[in-house]
Amino acid sequence: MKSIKNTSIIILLITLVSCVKEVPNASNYEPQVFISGFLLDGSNYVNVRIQRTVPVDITSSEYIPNAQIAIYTKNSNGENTLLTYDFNYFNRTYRSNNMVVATVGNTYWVEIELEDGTTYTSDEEILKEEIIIKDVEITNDYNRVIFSDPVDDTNFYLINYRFYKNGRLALEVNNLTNDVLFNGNDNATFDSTEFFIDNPDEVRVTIANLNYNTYQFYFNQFEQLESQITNSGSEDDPSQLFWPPPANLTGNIINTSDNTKALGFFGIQSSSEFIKSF
Amino acid sequence: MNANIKKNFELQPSSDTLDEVIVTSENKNKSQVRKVLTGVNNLSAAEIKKLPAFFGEPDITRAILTQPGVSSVGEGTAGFNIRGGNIDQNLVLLDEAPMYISSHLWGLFSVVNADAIKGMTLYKGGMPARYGGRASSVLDIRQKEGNTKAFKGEGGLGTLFSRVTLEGPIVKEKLNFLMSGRRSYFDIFFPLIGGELENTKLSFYDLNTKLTWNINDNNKLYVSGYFGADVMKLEESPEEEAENSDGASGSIDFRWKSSTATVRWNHIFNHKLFMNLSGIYSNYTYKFISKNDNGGIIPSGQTFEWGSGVQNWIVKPDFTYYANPNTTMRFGVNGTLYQFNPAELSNVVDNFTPEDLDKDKGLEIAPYYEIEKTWDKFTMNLGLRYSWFGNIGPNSVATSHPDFPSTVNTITDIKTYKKGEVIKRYSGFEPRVSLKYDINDRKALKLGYNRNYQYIHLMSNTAAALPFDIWKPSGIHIKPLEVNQVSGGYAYDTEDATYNFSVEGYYKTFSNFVEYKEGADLFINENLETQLLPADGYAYGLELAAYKNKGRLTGNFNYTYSVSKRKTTSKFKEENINNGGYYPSNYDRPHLLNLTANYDLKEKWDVGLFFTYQTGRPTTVPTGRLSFDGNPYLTYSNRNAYRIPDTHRLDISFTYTPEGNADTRWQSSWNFGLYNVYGSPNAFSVFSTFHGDQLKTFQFSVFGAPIPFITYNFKF
Repeated sequence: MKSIKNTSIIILLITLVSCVKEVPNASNYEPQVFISGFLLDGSNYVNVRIQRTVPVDITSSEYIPNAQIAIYTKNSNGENTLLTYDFNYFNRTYRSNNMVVATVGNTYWVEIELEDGTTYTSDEEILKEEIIIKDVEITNDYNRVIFSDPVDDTNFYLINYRFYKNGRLALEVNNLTNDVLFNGNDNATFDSTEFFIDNPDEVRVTIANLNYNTYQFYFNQFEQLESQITNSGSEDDPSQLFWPPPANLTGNIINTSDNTKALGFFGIQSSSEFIKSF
Repeated sequence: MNANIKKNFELQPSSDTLDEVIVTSENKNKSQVRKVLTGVNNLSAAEIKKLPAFFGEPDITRAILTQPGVSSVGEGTAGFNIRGGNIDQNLVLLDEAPMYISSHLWGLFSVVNADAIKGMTLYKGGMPARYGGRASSVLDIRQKEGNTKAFKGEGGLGTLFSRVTLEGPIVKEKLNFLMSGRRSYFDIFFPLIGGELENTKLSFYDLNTKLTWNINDNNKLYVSGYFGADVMKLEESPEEEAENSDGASGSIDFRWKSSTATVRWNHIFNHKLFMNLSGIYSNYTYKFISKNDNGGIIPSGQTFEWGSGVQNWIVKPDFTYYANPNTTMRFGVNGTLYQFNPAELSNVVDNFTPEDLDKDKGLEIAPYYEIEKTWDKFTMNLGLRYSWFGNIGPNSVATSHPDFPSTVNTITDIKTYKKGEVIKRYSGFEPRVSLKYDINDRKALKLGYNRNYQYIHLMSNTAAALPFDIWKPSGIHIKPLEVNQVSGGYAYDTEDATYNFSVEGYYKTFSNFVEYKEGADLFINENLETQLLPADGYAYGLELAAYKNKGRLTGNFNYTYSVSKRKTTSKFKEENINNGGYYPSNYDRPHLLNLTANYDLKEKWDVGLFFTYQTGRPTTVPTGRLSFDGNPYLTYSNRNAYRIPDTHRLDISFTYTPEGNADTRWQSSWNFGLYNVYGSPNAFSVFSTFHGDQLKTFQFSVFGAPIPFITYNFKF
């Protein structure tokens, strides 16, 4: 696949005399807290992870125990209710001791207090409706999902493809899209064209209907992942001429102790799945 | 003298050395003593051509970058930055028509052919009231008018492209023309290289034209035009096509073009009152066609066309009144109708909903008056410009909940405006004041103050501007940019005017910059305002310049110290960049030093040198890492908290001019040399990526080696 960025590379590498050399990293370590978790529609346990960033040359991760976590909801009448604050910390993850029931149309958020007293909260997000997936087409050129895009709503989707072969997960692909190109289309299509697998036995496609700030988190994550892949591979754009400033993995988390944006997300999202066997 | 006398003299700019006749004059070409305005630089076509050039091709943008106070984010990037301003704050005029793109090939070459121009003036400090619409500078480029007496031509055969200019009379001394064109041809070698390049098209061309009609002694009509285009087309090779199961081929076709047209009527009412009435059209469009390939644009491999652009229609009557030898007045009005087309998507496969974003329209009307008056030792240029801007319908504008940061989820209402309805209006006075005190005829002190409003904004979130960045007018969500600048200076000429010296300082404030939220997604975004942040800023600096105008060695030296900072001012603290603190702009490069020299070696040889040293530009670097979904990710420093290494470069060129042929009038010269003589690997960016689990840091240089060049130039 070619791209505009690759076009620029042709210009840079063929027309010009460019060069890349390795240099020492001259930056200083600045620790930050990263929170990740989500609440799905229906009845589910809630999982939350909290970690502290480490220096760039350290390969292990540092997870933060002893945090207090609470999930809140607001119904359509504007009444707030504490859903649960009963979490157990095990294997780097906080897991609710009871299942939490989430209802489409209601608003949810998380509040977290660390041992040192720093507090965080996620944006209040509405649980959106499930997306109806109508069909999935798998060819050698594209993996297509056909679904009904809601009318009169701006939607943001995380689309996950899992390909199974001989009873085992052989390939997993995540794509992110908004509905600019197919808004309100009852037979909207989305094609994933980057990764393929020959003759899968089964494919499972999940569409998560996200809120904007959670989408923004995934957007930043995908951008960073893509830049890491393209910059370390052969189709690189090392110039970063046409890249925006690097974005931190911020989503919908606010540090309420100092009222600044914090790393991470707590997504409120509905999810629908379609399974097709071959 | 007992009557008014009018005589026309035609002067041709030239860099030739005349040995047979020694011309002596008080050459004050670079003197700042006579000019009342601060921060004005003139460059003639001949001077531009004397500079050592990238690939041997004279280039006006690179020539501008040799002037004090002018910088860019890096080598090979589009546009230039003046005294802490963004590239969209420069009004680039070609025969009065605004240009919306300044470069071919993503920033490598200027869109304007140096052969076609007479000269240019850069206003970066004191700006006359007749100019407006941009906040930081005006680059006024004037095309040649064409020779009135004889047919002439000039051109060059270069490494990357060739150019030819023809001019002459159609009706002698009555109607004359100029035509100048360039075409690149390096892509003809791509099939020889093969591989991915085999089916690649990569080229540009441009054409400058002008027609001058001397109707009579009191009336003159000028018609000029420009057309330039870049083409990039990538097609899958047969091998890649064969890999596709259905044999379908993929391609990306990307092209952008710029065109302008100016009609100017010059009328002399009497020996005191002159008028220029101009009608101007300017157009910039780009188109992207993707076939069976996502082109990196949309996350879905489909066939589609995407187009965007900006158009201007301008009418401007300008009057000049010479009240007496010491008093000149100018007055007039500028009227500009803008149309911005943010995105037109069309396509071609099923289930794809064509999406056209609403066109933005704006009307700017700006009457002005300026007076320049000289007393014995004191000169002043006073001006007042009043600008009115209306963002006009039809359009739909979203309203967000006032208590939350603006996102698509906080939109509460969408209001529709009818055709011609004023959605939002802004207006303001723009005073311009320049004062000069002559200590004597070789020394002068200057002081100036300017206010400028800018009602259109380039939406660009990348280190280097892209051809497909879009423009947006001010409206409900975007306020006009306001810049106030105070500048002052001292100019000094040596007794025989061999040397000119100047020192200038400035302080600027910027209100209502457009900044971008972290991770902003600007592509075909119907609610672009949700990605923007308001920002303020300031810039200050000191510029020192010295010129040597006479002798075998000529040239100039300039040094600039400058600071350019900004901060976002959202009322929602959590979305402000760097928590609302000041941070350096992308082009904040405090130390900037340029040295240009030309030496007349002997009869047929000239040598030119250019050296530049600049502080590295600010950058944002990784300061930590985390793990998510099994992959390592980076966390970053505050915006622009670090700097890439400083850069420096030396260019050299030699010009050999053999004896011309007197019979054929054919004159030729060879220009050859080295760009980046000692191969300085100047850092354009420093970036970090994961290689496995380990983070590695790299430095990228656009020009990491010397680039030899040779060009054959001719004229007849």
